[in-house]
Amino acid sequence: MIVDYEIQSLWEWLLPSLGKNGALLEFVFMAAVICLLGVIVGYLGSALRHGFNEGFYRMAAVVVNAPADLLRIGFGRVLAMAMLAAQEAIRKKILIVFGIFVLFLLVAGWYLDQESDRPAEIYLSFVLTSTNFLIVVMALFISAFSLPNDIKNRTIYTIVTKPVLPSEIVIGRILGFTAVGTVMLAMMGGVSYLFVVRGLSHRHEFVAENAAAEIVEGKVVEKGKTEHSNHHSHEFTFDEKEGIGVTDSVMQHTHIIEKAGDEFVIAGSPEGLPPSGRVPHFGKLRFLNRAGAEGDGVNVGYEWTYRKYIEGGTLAAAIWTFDGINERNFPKGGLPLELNLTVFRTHKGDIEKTIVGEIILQNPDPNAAIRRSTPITFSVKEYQSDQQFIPRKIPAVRLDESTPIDVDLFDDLAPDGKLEVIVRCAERAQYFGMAQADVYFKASETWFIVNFFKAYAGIWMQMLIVICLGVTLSTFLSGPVAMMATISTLAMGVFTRFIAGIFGEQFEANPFLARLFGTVPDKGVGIPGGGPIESLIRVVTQKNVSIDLELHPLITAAISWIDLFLMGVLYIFTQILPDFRQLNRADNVATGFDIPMTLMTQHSLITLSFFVMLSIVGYFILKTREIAA
Amino acid sequence: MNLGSSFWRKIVYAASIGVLLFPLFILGQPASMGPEGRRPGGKLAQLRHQHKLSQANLGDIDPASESMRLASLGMSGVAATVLWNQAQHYKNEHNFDKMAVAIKQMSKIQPNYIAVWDFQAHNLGYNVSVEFDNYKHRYHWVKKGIDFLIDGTRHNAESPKLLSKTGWYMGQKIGRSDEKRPFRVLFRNDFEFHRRLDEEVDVLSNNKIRGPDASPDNWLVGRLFHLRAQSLVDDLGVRPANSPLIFHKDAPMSLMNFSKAIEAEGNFSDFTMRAWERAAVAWKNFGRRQLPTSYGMTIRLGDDVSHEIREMQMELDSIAPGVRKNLVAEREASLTEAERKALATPREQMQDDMYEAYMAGAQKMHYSEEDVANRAPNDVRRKALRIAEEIAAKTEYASRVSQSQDTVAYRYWLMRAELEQTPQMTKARELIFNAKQSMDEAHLEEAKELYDESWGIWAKVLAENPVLRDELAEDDLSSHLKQYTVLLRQLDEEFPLDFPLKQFVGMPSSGVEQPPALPTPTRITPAGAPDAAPSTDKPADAKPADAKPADAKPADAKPADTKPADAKPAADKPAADKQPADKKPADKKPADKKDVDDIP
Repeated sequence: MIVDYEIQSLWEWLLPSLGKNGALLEFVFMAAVICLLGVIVGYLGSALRHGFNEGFYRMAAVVVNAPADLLRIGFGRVLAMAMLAAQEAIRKKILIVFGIFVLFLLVAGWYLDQESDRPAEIYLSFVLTSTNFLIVVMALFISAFSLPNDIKNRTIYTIVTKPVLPSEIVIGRILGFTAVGTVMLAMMGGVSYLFVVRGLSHRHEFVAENAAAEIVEGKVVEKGKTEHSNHHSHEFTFDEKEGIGVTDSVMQHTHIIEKAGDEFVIAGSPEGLPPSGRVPHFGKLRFLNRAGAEGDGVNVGYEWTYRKYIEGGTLAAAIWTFDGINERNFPKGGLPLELNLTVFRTHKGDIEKTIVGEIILQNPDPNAAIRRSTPITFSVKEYQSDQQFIPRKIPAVRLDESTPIDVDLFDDLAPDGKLEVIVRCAERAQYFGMAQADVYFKASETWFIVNFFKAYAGIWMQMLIVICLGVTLSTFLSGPVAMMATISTLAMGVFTRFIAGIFGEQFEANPFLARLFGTVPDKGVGIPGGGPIESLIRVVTQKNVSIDLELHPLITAAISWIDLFLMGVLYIFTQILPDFRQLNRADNVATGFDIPMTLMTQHSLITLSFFVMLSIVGYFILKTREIAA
Repeated sequence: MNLGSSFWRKIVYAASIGVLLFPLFILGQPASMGPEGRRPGGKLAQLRHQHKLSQANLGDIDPASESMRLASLGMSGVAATVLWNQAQHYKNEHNFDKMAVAIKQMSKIQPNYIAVWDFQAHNLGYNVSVEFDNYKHRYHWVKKGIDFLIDGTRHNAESPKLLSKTGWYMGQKIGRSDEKRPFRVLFRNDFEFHRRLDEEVDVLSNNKIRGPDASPDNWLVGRLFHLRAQSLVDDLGVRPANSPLIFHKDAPMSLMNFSKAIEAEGNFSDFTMRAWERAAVAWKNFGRRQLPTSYGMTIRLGDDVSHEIREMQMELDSIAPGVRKNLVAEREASLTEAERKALATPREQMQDDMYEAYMAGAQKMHYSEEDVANRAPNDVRRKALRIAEEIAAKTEYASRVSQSQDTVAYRYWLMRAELEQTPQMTKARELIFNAKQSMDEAHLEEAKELYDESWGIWAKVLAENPVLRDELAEDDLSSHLKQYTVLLRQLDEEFPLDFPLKQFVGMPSSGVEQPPALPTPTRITPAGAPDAAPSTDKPADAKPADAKPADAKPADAKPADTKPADAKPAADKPAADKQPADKKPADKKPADKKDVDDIP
């Protein structure tokens, strides 16, 4: 899995630290800005209707009464509102969305690549993406049209004439729609789970002629090949003495083989399908250059610079430094190391042989008596997790001796829990490629169903935010406009990085602003081509991003400033809005990585803050509308 | 606005809609089948039928593809563009599985866009496969490229390009890449792939596509796809994917490549000789095929019209006796001393300062048959001019044939295939192969003995077939000689002075450095004398004498491409000068025409 961001601990994320404001401070700042803007806009609106003085008093009354109103929120009334909203949603036949989803699943076999080498990724990406899409669209429709229709049809008066607070109307609707959405999501989740598990489950038959007995290391083993089914077959080895066998890994899975009488049979479900969630224990990566000094990895010419490369047959090495390497974290008597390295050959060499490398475990303390293990050689397995189990007792060399002795991994090599893993490529002029997340220790595994549930929780959070946005925007916009506004917000949430990339590139290209303010935070990879005006000109005149616009310098400057302003507004919005891509954790489930609880908690807090803030904003707007009425 | 005006307005609207719908109905009426046969439908349906644009004409109707196109609500072009970018993005990120999914979806959205199948199959089979370090993974992705192309052929039943590409990938990618050795083994044992391929071409029950180990061979299976592509062109009149010359050469070349491949893998039995025989037959049949050219004439590569040209020149000389002689004498008389000397000097002995005089002399000596005809006596001049005209047309034809032959190295492959079937050549190759094996196993003395034995045969073969010398050297002999050089070095020996291929060692084409002990090599000719223009298919050497039929000495104008006696030039009559491209007499099997499949 590609991990191009750092997962911080909850407190690191929440509280300010060196160079970072922390989520809490950012939230407080944004809340203050919204309050201030709310007061200004509210006063202007009130002043337009009632004059400067009267408007001020009316606005002040709303603000003063607000805390009391918000504290007076009654659970019963909210529940009643929620039930009404839920009934309305059901009345609008939103259950049809579930029907569409089932239809998707029924015809999925036509579209899904049954022969893919990673069937779990295909199946899971499909169900999670389609669920996400349908749920968000459903949330959009039910939330954006509800209040405007009530106001238009004047059915809202049947409610507001009752002792119900505007905040209760807003929260009730949000909760009601969320409840319906949750039920829908649960149904989709259940069906999806069955679809994935049943779709990936399969067995193979055996043909007696395809197996032959061999003696390997003094043991009688039978080697052979399974029948071809589900677009693949396996080679297997069966240990006669143990009475158990295992197949090789094809399409992300293996099978356990048993014997029933004289015949081989597959025992249970495929191992690895659907994938359970590995809990990786990541380390920090640094490089040594070919002379053995601290340096950086090499770029071998790929456009994508996620991975760096080390040269084989030199002193170049990739070193991962891990914390928390102890018996408590790894109770299985050793370290399950997983490598996802890639190979870059500068010459073909012997194409039938894989490139060999070595792993050395090292105590970071240069004065430790037992500094490093003897090298463990391995052949790279690309595009799959190469699992190397490092036993607790491993040979290492003491500083004062030359003969290897067996040492304890935890006690001798990592006495304070710190351990370095050094990876080298052994073959001259060949390269190994790696990124920080490519080498890790597998701390534990979560069940597939748990990871699957977490992914659905991510979709649920997205749904809740969309419903909050839809209901809040619909308190002052008509239905279609509220929907468009929500879609725009959603789009900005999805393209956060893209917008920051465009704005950052333009901002830093402007000498005046760059000198004054420096760089743009969260810019990521800069995107050339300008903002909306410049892009439009380029599209119409068919000038690609690397060509000058060839306009008068004054016109170019004007375009640049207008684009900067427009992109600046969008950029500020993206700083407020949630990054919807972060909430979508389908990749974790599909690639078999656990969704960390830290991340889930962070996302839950983000969702909660949106719920609270948007409910309050919705309350004020509805309250103001009542005043206007 | 009163009720009446509103009512009439609605009536007008309804009538307008009706009127506008009528032409739409006429245009868009679908074709259908009735009891009295096919109803052609509206104009659009007729046009679709006429230009074979309906889905049923184009290829298989895939419900997934159709429903996806329908679901995209006319935005399939946009969707395909997005998917294309997505596929590129995944490729950059080395997420090849997702890339393959995006490509597959793209092909479903626009299944009749040949460029998508072609480009993305190359992406899968060539660009992605090499990103994997394990050769088995590489092979797996090459197969994905082939599978993708096959899928494309199903959706585009009349695309010779996709079929031809499938054949090309099957042959060239599996049989020519750096990993060809393991790839070919994997292919031979890939029963599942054979089963899948059998749905397209006859693989499982066809003994003609099996190699020496009785398993299907990639070159021979690839050939079946080339043959299918050819049959589309021949039977349905579909235009070939590239120039007809290149397009039609692939099927017979597959047999050549197959023969070469099994030899390289150490098969020197009768089977290999028969494989070369089949290749030779297929190549000759290729020579008989009518090939349209961009010059507006149809040619046959196997045609040799030099004989006819000579006969007509003799006829011209007979009706205008002495004219040619006088003409030549006149021209010779006009030469300066320097020009005369330059023309008399063999090319390789010519000094730089002689070229100008040589060119000027050659220009003076040049005359056309028309010049001869114009000097014929008045009573036969008209006839002479007609003959001169015929000679000019034949000469042009010969020139086009020769150019095309050079393009596909027609003569080289013909001679090579003839030569390789001989037990002598097979023995030479077997000895070389065994010598290499012995060398790899560090049996150096044994290797040297085998090499030495083989050089004797090679020398004989090369002496008998001098026209093949340079090509054979470049093709494979150079690598063996390099190995031999290494072997000698390991044995601490020098090249023997009586080394049978000493004339060859040290030539640039051999790739072997000139050993000090041996004399500097010179080019040899069939007659053993230095020759100005070696007669092979190399473009640089491609100066067939028949391109200049009106040379001063017609008798000397022995065409360089004259076939050796055993090459048996096509016995059938040469094609008429400018036959229309759509005429296909080649389809009719001549009495002496042997078919590839006639050979066991």
